[in-house]
Amino acid sequence: MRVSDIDRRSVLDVSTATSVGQIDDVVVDPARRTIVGFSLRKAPGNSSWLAWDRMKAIGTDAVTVDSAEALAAVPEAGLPPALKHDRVIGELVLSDQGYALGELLDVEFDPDSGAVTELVLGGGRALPADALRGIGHYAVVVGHPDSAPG
Amino acid sequence: MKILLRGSDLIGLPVVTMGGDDIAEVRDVVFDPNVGHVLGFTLNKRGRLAGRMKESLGRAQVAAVGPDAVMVQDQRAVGVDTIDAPSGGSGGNVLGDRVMTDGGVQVGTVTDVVIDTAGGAVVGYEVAPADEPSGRHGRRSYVPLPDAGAVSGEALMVPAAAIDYITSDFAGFAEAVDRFRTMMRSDHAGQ
Repeated sequence: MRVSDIDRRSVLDVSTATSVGQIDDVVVDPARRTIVGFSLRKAPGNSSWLAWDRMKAIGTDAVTVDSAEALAAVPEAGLPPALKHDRVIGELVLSDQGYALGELLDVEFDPDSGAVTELVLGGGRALPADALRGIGHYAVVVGHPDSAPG
Repeated sequence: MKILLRGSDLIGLPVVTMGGDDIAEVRDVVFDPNVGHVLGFTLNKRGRLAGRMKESLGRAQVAAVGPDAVMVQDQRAVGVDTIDAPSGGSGGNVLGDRVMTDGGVQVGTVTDVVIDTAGGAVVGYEVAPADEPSGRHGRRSYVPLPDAGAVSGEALMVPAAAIDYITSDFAGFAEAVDRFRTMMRSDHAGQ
């Protein structure tokens, strides 16, 4: 599953069968290569953060939570850049040898574990997630792929 | 594979941490002709009109130099080393210096240095040939250096044999350096 697939997907509270928001953005921990959580739009009050481990399931039509208590305020500090709002999607992918490899178009992940499995680059190219070194405000840094010069 | 870049190719490159943040950009390349490798970089702040940083980046703190970025481990890489401008010769700035062979032939004047990105060694000079007007749009040639670099004094001395390996084709220069150095080593071994 790709991050772009769940953009704007409804978040459903299964205890009340009501929508508590929509997926607005995704935060990935580059060190653990896993999704940390989602920021939501149209959420009640300032409870616009859904941590990955407070989520019940990602279904084809909705993301579900056990109750609205799964939501919290967005952590103020310590979060890596968000994929959409911090423009990680669209950012330069740079090898640790200083080569520009292209633009990050999407992120593939395992919907059961939240583990990032692949980075999708422009030109139909994909890199395995274990190449990921860092996600910053300038670039996504990856280990140097064998296919590149050098 | 040996990847060569000109010093001027590095100016303006972002200095990027492994975490993906750009913390500076290359202002200039600091080079000691008597040592034969890059000592480090002076830095500008990122962004237009941002100006010079007082911190510099020593060679030991550089993780990699590529055509698109200078990579460092993290923010702490900057300002660890103070780069002293090398003494003697031309104070580290070889641009405009004459390149002479030990046979007494002037090859030209230096317009840039050629760096092996893998280790930061300076493997050659870009020169405006002596027999051509050295105008801004003049032809450029590339002179290979032996492993030990060039001796720098009033001029930069290179072995006479280097003349046979001068090329105007930068793409083919890495191979010319390899051939020249192999020849120099076997020549020494045979003596």
